[in-house]
Amino acid sequence: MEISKDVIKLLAAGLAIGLGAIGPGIGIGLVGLGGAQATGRNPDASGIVLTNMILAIAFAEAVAIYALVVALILIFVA
Amino acid sequence: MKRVVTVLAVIILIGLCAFSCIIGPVGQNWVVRPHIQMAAETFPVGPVRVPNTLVGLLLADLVLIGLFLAGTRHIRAGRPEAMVPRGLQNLVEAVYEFLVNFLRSILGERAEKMLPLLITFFLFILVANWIELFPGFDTVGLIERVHEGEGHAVRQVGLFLFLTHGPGEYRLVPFLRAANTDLNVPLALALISVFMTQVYGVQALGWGYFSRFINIKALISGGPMGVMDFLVGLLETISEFIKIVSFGFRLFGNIFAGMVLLLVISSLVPFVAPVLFYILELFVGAVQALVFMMLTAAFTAVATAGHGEHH
Repeated sequence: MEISKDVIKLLAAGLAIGLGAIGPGIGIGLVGLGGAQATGRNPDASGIVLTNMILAIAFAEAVAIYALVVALILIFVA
Repeated sequence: MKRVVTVLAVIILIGLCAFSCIIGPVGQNWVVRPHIQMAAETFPVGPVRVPNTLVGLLLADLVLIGLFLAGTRHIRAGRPEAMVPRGLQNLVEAVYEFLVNFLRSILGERAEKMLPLLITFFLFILVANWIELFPGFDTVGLIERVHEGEGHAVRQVGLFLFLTHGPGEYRLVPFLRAANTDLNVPLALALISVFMTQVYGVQALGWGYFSRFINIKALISGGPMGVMDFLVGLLETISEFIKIVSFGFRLFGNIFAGMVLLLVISSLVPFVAPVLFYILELFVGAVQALVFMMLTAAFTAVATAGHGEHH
């Protein structure tokens, strides 16, 4: 069976976003865990905890976005 | 009466669900597959070709300016009814107060000077993201002949042309597309954000701010640790450029992925299912606006804090 360029492109894009989402997924889960625990221990601080949580999630999520952009470039541009 | 309406709505909803479950997978024979492209589509206006994200951007600007002009008209006219806000003025004041209090809680006294920039970032990105969810975006436009790649067939119904399933040589060029699905817009916002961070840093610390990046003083007089400080400064310089990329791609990636998600879901299961993803996109749009504002605020807080200064 001959493997065409398109097949490789789609496979690469799928692998890029699939593997790239593992780390950020774990990371965001850990951030959520920490945030929930912190809010549970000190409900008064929920505002500042939420702020820091969203910041940390944004940093973790950026990695997944890089993977997404690579996947998008592979599909639409490369 | 109210109960009858509710029951009717539920029945219609379940009916649509069942209907779309039937025609969704089977309906591949008449639902048009979306044509997705990363660069903005352009349509001709006179001699030039205008990208549709530019139209989306201007529309977002108009909506934002109009909303706030209308919301503050009593205040600007100095009328007494401005003292007891009603309707739109209430909304505008509530949004403004929420943002100002939120930013003051993060930045403290330093917030005042940055409030206009940060709140503009938030509101502009919010409106530009949410405007994508209005009907007509990505779906109404010009039918154009495809020069390369595959296209769809067209069918004329009355005055309008519709794309239909099946091979052909036409494609849709939408008039409207959300501004942030064009990499240029998030990248421009990112450049403004990072540049203004430097400006606020210089304002707070004077020209000594740049010793954060090129620390010659430490290199000359600091000994071995001074060399270390110098290298850390080089890393800081690189991370400033990484910031531009990560700001830009985060916003672009989220909103573009949202657009693709909505288009694909709408073509797979045309009824009911897209509503859930519309709710998701409302959330994503708001979170991205908040994240952009908060990251700018956090980076500015770091830049204005000063080297070796402790609070």
